[in-house]
Amino acid sequence: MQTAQAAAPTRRFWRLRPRLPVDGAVTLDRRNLYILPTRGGLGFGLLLLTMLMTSLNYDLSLGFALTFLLSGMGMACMWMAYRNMLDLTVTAAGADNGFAGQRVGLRLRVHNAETGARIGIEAAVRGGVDGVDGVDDVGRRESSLTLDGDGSGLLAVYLPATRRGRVSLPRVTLSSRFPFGLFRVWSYADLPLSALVYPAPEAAAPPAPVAMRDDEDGSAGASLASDDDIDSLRRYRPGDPLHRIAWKHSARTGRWLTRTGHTPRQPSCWLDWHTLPAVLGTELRLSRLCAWVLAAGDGVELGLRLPGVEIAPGHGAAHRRACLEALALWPEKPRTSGGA
Amino acid sequence: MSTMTTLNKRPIAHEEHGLLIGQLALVLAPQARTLPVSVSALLVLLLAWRWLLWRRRAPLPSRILLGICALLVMMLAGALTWQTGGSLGRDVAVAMLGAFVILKLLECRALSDATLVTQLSLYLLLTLYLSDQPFWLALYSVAIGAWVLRNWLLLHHPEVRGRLAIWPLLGRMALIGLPWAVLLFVLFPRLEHPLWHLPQGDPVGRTGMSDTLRPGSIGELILSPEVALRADIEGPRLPASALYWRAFVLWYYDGAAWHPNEGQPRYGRDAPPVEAAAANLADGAAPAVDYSVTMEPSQHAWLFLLDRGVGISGGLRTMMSSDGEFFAREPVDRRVRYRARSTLGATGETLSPVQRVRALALPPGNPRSRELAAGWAQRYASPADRVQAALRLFAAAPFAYTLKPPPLGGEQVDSFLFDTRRGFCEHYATSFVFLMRAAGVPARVVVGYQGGEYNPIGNNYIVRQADAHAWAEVWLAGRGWVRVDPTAAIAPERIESGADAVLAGSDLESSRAHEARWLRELRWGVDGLVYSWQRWVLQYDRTRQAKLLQDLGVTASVPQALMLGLAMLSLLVLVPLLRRPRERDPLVALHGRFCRLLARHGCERAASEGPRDFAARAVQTLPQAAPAVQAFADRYVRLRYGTPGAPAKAELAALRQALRALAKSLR
Repeated sequence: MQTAQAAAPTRRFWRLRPRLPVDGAVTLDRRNLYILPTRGGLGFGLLLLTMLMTSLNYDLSLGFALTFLLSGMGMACMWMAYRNMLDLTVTAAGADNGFAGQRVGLRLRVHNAETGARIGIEAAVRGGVDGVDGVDDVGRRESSLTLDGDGSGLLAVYLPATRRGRVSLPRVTLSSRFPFGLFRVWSYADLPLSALVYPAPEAAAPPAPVAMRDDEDGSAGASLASDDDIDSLRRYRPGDPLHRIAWKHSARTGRWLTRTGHTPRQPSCWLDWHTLPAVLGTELRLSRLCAWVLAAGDGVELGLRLPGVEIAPGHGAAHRRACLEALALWPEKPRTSGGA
Repeated sequence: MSTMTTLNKRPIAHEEHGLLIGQLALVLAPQARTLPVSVSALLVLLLAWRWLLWRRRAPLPSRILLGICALLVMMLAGALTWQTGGSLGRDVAVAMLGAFVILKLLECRALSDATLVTQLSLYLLLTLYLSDQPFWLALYSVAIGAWVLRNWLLLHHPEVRGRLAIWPLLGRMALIGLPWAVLLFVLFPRLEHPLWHLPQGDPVGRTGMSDTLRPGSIGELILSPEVALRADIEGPRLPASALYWRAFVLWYYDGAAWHPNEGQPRYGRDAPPVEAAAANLADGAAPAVDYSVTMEPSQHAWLFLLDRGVGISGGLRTMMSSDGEFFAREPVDRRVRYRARSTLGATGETLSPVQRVRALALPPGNPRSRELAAGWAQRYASPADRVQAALRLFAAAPFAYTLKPPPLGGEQVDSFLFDTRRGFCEHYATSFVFLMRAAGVPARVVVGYQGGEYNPIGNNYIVRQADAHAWAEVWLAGRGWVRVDPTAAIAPERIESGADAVLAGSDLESSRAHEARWLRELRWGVDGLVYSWQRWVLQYDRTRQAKLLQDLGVTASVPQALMLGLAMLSLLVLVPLLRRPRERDPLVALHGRFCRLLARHGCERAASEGPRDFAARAVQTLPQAAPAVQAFADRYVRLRYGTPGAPAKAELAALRQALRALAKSLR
């Protein structure tokens, strides 16, 4: 079934053939599960050999029994190790974006459809940094993942975030050394998952230029409206946001009341690529913008203007994420349109 | 891999250290039964040090200190080897290994160290069997071994605790491993001769007979209930008076003790095997008896055969002397089993002139005994009559059979015959042979065991150290060497029922003669179990292996049979893999193949996509295969959703054909 398209340019080593997901999930079936003894396993083999030689030389019947029983256990170990990984399904479960110079995390969900527990599953990627994390259903965190029967859990691999942009998950090696560390069983998964690396925020960035919008007056920095300056009150209707409820009046009158009228103004500003000093290079500009986006906090309404990309002023976590995403991908356009 | 190294560097928790110490202590404990006390004390000291550090949660000692300890241990081992002249080689090696494992435990910081200690503990378990392999040790090893494995599992996967039943898991693994273990045990070829030999004496000092005979040397053994040998005798049950287990012959008497034939090579030719012995038997000779003997280690070379042995077979290299003694080429330092054939009576032998001189040689002294014998020689012409005269003397006079004979004077024989007249079998054998030689009848002393307790449950005879005995053989022309037991004349019940019966109540405190019936049967039952254990497990060797294959009708050699068995087991292992449940619905299976095929070409089906949507997208992404994709999808949707019931075979074949066409168009 090997097609010309896949085989022609680079004839891949059979073992390294892509393990693409079907319906988004890679199943570690027996055609893609490999097993080899570990160094500890070879050591155990040596131990068994020594035991055998001793038994042979001194003709120890009990020695033979012990040696062969342990060999049998070793055989069983091989089977147990294999069973431990067989038919697990792996799906992509999201990414933890990071800043350049730090690391990004890519999460995989491992699902065990069978009734037996699966012990000590690890994930590794080429060039990955330490800190492989497993989180099971109950939320326990260990360096490896252990699944109960018919359970699933998350495994995260971390990649160094060297450059701004998109980091896609390379081939993941899932492995386990259960039960005695004598054998390592492993398989591969190629999952379509990527994380974003935001520009590293500039360490000593100057304060953000507060470029007031034209329609803004001097009350931009005013604090939140208190209950006392009421424009008007009306009866509470289901769906009114909590922060519009006039708590004091409600308490006084014994009825739920909602404030209407002017919303308190948010300060707002534009972070503009073009207003930055011309001496700064591309990455430095992005770094500074990134630092400003992070520094702004939830209280400030801000918009982002990059060559070819503009994100309307807004605030909140989603807005900030949109800004960071735009900064990470520029000059590529982000998938989601900015603005909250 | 980075994860592997980090895993091996995982520090060991306090409780895990405790488990490691505990399991090592349990593995080493039974070594105390064979190791010299000083060595045991050293091991206990090292282990106690480790334990104290653990108790106080103190830091582990520095590497320098450990290096000094290792050096000390090696020096001690060297000193011990030098002091004992190298006779403790094996014990010293085992003790050194034990000491080094404890030292390793003293610098155990990471998981890899703990794994090494665990694995070496398993090896130490094996060294327990070097001295002997009693049944309780097998049970002990299974228990400790299982515990070691459990700790090992927890070391590597602490997360298992509370999520997985560990003992059932280990049990399941043992069950999977058992067929391999049994097959290997039964068919793994055994060596005929050891590859190397570390000298090993017996520091404990086992009770048993020595190769000289002096008054009192057998009496020392009479209190020992230790088993000397067990025997299966074919044919009808023999009376106790026929059970003379002959070990060796003594010719030379120096007035105080009997010594083996000095200046004369003890070892003769290779012993004939049992099969060849039939031909050696003279016509009309006494009936032959076939039997097998399981002999406990004696640290001596001699083997015990019933009366006059004619052939021996087994895993041993054996020799037979001109006196009809049988020897192993090396001292028997482990339990051995051999088959043998004997005649109950004289074999056709000759007496050379040299032998006649030696069989009549006497040390100077003992004038009264010489005088008595000379009188017999004058009165009786026939040597047989002189023998009878001596036996009459013992039977009639106030001779007594006792375990605590009074001390003898300088002239041993005179002193016994005319003064004390109380003695044990060696006194009677000595005096009798002395009298016979003085009377001109060639005679010699024979040492061995006499009697044996018949165990009706195991259907075998148990011969103990307490059954040690000495008797005489005289040369009668025309009959050869004839066994004469002077003890039978003075205490016939010793021969019929064993020393216990004679000494009951008088000398022996813990006599088995008054044993309760149920107790005796219980003892027999236990002994029968022990015997079966030795026979079927411990004595399983090359010969038995070959015999088993022969009995099973297997014509292949042992290695061939082993390879065949392993191949069959390997195939059996594959069965669960091959029989894994596949997708049962052929339609779904085919669609799965369809999806995988397209996924390989870059068109992957999303979880939310139905077959129609997916096909529509595939037609756009892969225009070169558009008609084939459409054809397959239409057919699939019609079969799966359009028609009730299972699809016809022809329809399935058509769908398969469509898939093949698609694969072709993508190529």
